[in-house]
Order: sequence, then C-alpha cells, then structure tokens
Amino acid sequence: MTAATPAPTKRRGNSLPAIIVLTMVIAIVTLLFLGRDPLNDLFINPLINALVLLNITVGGNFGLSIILFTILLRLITIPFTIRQLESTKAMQAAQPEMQEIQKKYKDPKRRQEEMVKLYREHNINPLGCFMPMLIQMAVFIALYRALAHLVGGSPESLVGLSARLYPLGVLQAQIPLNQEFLWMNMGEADTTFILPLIVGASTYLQQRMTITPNASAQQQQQQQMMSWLLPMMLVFFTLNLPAGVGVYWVVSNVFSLFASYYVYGRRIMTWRQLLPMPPPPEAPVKPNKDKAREPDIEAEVTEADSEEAPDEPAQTETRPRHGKRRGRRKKRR
Amino acid sequence: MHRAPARHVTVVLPLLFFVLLVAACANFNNPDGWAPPEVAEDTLYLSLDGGELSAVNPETFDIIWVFPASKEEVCGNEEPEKRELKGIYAAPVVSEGIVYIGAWDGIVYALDAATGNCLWDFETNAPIIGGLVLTNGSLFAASTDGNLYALDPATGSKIRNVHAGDVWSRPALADGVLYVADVDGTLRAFDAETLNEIWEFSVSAGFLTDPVLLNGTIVVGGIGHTLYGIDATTGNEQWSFDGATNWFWGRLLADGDTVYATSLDSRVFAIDATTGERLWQFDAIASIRGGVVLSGGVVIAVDDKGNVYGIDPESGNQVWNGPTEIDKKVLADPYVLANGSVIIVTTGGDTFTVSPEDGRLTTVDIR
Repeated sequence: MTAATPAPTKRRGNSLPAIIVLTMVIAIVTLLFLGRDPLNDLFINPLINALVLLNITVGGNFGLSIILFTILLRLITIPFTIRQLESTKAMQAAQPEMQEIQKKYKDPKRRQEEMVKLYREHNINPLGCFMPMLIQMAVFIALYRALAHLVGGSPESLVGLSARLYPLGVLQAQIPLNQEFLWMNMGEADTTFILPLIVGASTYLQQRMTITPNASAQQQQQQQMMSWLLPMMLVFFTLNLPAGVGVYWVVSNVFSLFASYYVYGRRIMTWRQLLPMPPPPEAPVKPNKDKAREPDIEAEVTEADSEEAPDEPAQTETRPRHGKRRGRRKKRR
Repeated sequence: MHRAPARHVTVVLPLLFFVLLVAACANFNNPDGWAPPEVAEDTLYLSLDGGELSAVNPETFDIIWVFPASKEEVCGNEEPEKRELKGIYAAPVVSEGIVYIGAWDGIVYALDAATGNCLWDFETNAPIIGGLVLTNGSLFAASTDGNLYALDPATGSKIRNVHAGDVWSRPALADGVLYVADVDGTLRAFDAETLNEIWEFSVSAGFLTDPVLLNGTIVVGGIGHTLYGIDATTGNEQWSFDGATNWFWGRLLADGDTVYATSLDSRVFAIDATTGERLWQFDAIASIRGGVVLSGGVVIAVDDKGNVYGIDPESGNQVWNGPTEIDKKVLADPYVLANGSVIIVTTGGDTFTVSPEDGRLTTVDIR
C-alpha cells in the first residue's frame, strides 16, 4: 500500500429508508388494530384529496393536476432516485470485476463473499434500486385506485368517492372533476394510440438510458429484452387504463430521463445507447483505468489470491484483494 | 451463472408490478345503473341487468320483453344498429303505450310498451343520468353534455335545446316551469314552453337529488352536505339544512309539509319543508344512496349493504325488530307496489319485496 493512498472513508449510515419503512409498519399496525383499512387511510384517500386540492391550484383541469402531482412526487423522492441511479452507475463500473469474480470462483459461497466485498468497495447497495421502484409501484397502484374513484366516469364511482373525500367545502366543490385534457378524457382509455405510444417511447428511452454498457453478453441480451418488453406491455396497458394513469407514466418517465442525464451526463446520448443496435463483439475483459494506475496492487493481490484459491489459475487474477484498494472509491456528486 | 441481485430485480419487479396492476384493474367502477322500479299502465319496469330494461307483469312477475332484446336493434326506419345502453339511472316515463328512457350511451329511446320494439331514438353527446320529463307536447331530456333537449314525443325530433349544465337528476315540472339542477351547483327555472330561463340559483357544490316542489318551495341537495329550500317563484333561498356529514343523493320524498331525505353518511332525515328544521334523524348501519318510500304508514329506507329499515314517520323510531337484511348491495330507490309491499332491486339484479307491516322479506322470482 502506498503512503499516498487515503484512509477509507467510513460508510455513511443510510437510515432514512429504514425510518420510513418502520413508520409505515407502525401506522399500518395501528390502523389495523383500530379496524381501519390502512391502504385506504394511508395511501388512497390522502392521494385522492391531494389530487383534488391540486386540481384547484391548476384551475380545475384534472390533467394538469396529475402532471403537477407527478412532478411534486418525483421531486420529493429525488434523493431515492439519484441514489438508485448512482448505485446503478457504480454497478456498471464494477461490471468487469463482477464478471471476473463469476469466472474465477466456482464455489457459490466464496463467490458471494467476493461480491459483497466488491459492493462494499464500490459503495454499491444492490438493494438501492428497490426503494424508488417500490415507491413508483405503490404510487402507480394508488393513483390507479384514486383515479377509479375520481374520474371513474360513472355515478357508482362517485358514491365511493363521497366516503373518501375530506369534508372540506373547497374539495367538495370540485366534484365532479373536469376530466377533459388535450384530446383525452382522463377517466377513459386513449384509443387514439397517441398516449400509449408516447408512454411506450418514453419508457423505452428511459430503459435504454440505464442500460449497462459493459455487461456480459447474456446480461445485455436480458437488458435488450426488457427494454422492449416493458414498453410494449405498458402500451398495451395504457390502451386499457384511464388516460390519467398514462399521463402520470409519461411525466414520470420524462423526469427519470432528466435524472439519468444529471447522473450519467452526456455519455448516454449516443445512438448506440438509445437504439437497439447489436452490441459490439465481446472483447476480453480488460482491467479498468484505475487498475492500470495501480500495478503494485495487482501484483500483490495476484500473489495473495493464489494462496487463498489454489484451485484457480493465477493468471486470470486481475482483481485486487479486498482491503488493498483503498483510495479507489468512486467520486460522489 | 451467478447474477447480481439488481439483475433479478429487472425481471421480478416488472412482473410483480403487472400482477398488482391486473389486480387493481378489477376495482374500476363501470356504469351499471340504478334505475328504480316503476309501475305504469299495468306493467312493472325494472332494470335488472346493467343497460337493460325489462317489462314485467306486476302480478306474476313474468317478463314480457327486454330491451335491447339483441345486440342489434332497429329503431323506427333506421338500419339495425348495435345497442349497448351500459346503464340506466332513472325510471322510465310511460304514456299512451310508449316507454321513454334515457341511458348511459347518451341516447333517448322510445319503446313500444306492448312489444319493447324501438320506435325512435335521439342521440345526445354524453351520458344521460337524470330522468326524463313528459308534458303534453314535449319530452324533456337533460344530458350530461350540458343541454336540456325538448323532443317531439311522437317522432323524437328535436324541438329546441338550451344550456342547462351537467345534469345528473330528473328535472321537476310544475305550472309550466321546469326546474333543472346541475352538478356544478346551479338550479335553473325554465319556461317549459319556450325554454327561456326564468331564474337561477347557484351554490359552490353540485346538486345530485331530483328537485321536488312542495308548497311553493323547491327542495334540492347534493355534494355540499346541504339541503336547500328555494322559492319556486323567485329563486331566492328560503332555508338551508346542513345536518349531514356526507352527500344527499337519494330521491327526496315530499309528504305534507315534510321532506324525507337520505344521505351517504347513513342517515335518514325528516325536515320541515317550510322552515328547513330537522324533525328527526335516523341512523342506519351503512350509507344510503337510494331514497325512501312511504307505505302503510311506515317510512322504508334501504342502505347500500341491503339493510331495510321501517321507520315511524312521526318519531323517526324504528318500527320493526331490527333491519331486514338482504345482504346485497342496493343503490336503487325502492318502490311501492299496488298491494303496499315495497319492491327492492339489488345492484346484481336480485329482486325482493318487503312488507311494511313487519319487514318480512320475500324473494321475487322474475322469469
């Protein structure tokens, strides 16, 4: 280890998601104990009333209300989004080393240990992408349920809404909502195909922007499949769901595109990245730039690992042993 | 080959997402309709299935006809056309062997009362939720497209139309004046002959109940938890009653100087129509969408979960030993048959009669 190598920075405690989850669990248990419906009381009803409140601020246009709601929601959850993207970025950077570990270690337990070490070194939280995805999923389902009451379009849906709307005059005066927005009715599926295609295109772009460029051929194939499959499924669902859900999805995707640009920068703006071009021929794994700058570490690790894993060929070892790569932590924004 | 957890996430989460999405889809409310039963010209009219009107013998409960009888129906001299009414929310109007209905598909239909054949149809630009009103020379239909249409009852041709707002209730007609309440909170009085507006009265929240006229006062209520008494001549507010904590939606029942109103906060109110004072209040188990009926000296109310209550109209006390339980969803107004029993149609199309004396429940087998 060279003297110039900085001391390892202590991993920052990330207790916010845990606090949120714990708070939610306590609230759900309390409501269940009181005989209430937690899904309605914690998610659907507040969402319904928030949307109606926003409807007032945008002059009674429910389409604008959904757009404003989506933007506000994405702004509130931006720390999670950025963390997810940074985690993905770090994961992408560590891909060559991951592939190496997978090739080198046949024992699953050992391979897992090495992976955990690698994650720690690169400051990767493999579950880091769960929270934004869970939030997205929960909001999407809650929004769908809320829309079913708000712009369900039938008197039956308003009967249900009456019990969910808070007894405030300003909110009550908004009912029934003006559902017309551009060429769409927010409570009905857009059968013109315009919105479903926009949803599909924006989802596709968003998928392509987060694709891992230096993944293995199998992973690239998997990503390629997902980048097509998800947009196609969303096009199909948008054709059958209220247009309000599609509007939410489009605005959310656009927000994600900006967030990706912020984290990844201009490098993602290549046609190869955005279009389904065939991946370049798989080249042998090369040590990354950081490794090239640390030849002394490479040598040291090769020797050490060959002792630990005598069954594996020493010449394939390019990854330094954990604890010997201090100072290589990714720069964080 | 070992894959990182994030790779599994890309596959598992979208799948989970769509499973949840499909589960959520089941909760979307499609229009079913809650047209109340109606007996006219010796025939009982029911909407047993969403978007269908059945003519039934009120004695034997045998079905005479169903409209639409098939997916394609001929109206008058038109070509056969696909008919999907989707939902009927108001009782039909019957006169001189013709049945008039407005439906969620935005069309007013005139049907032959004997055969159910469609005589003519008139298409508006949005669903029709409120009921129709018939006078000597005009059939009035208020659509959610914002218009009140005056049609020729014989041919279905439009005589005139006027802007009347987004109307979800049946207009009231008295002394040549039509009172039309919309869901934006405006009650308008029109000359039934010319459709010229006489006056209008506005509040912040929408009206959902059918306006009723009682001793020169129009009573109407809706989303704002408030029932209003409005002078039928001037359109000035005479009183308001805000004792409910949820919307008034059920058909109002006027009897003497009393108006009986139901609210979605599971209450039945008796209100003095002159002053707007509460005479009594009855608390049900579940919310009440439908209105009440009066039969055999008993006010009968049905809540959304199918509990039927017999209430003393003087005191507001329950007269039976607890509610009669249908245990099915009921959103339609009940209706009093000629023999005094009350007929109730559930959302699924099951039909029951209730005796006002003791609340005894009888299942009606409609064939």
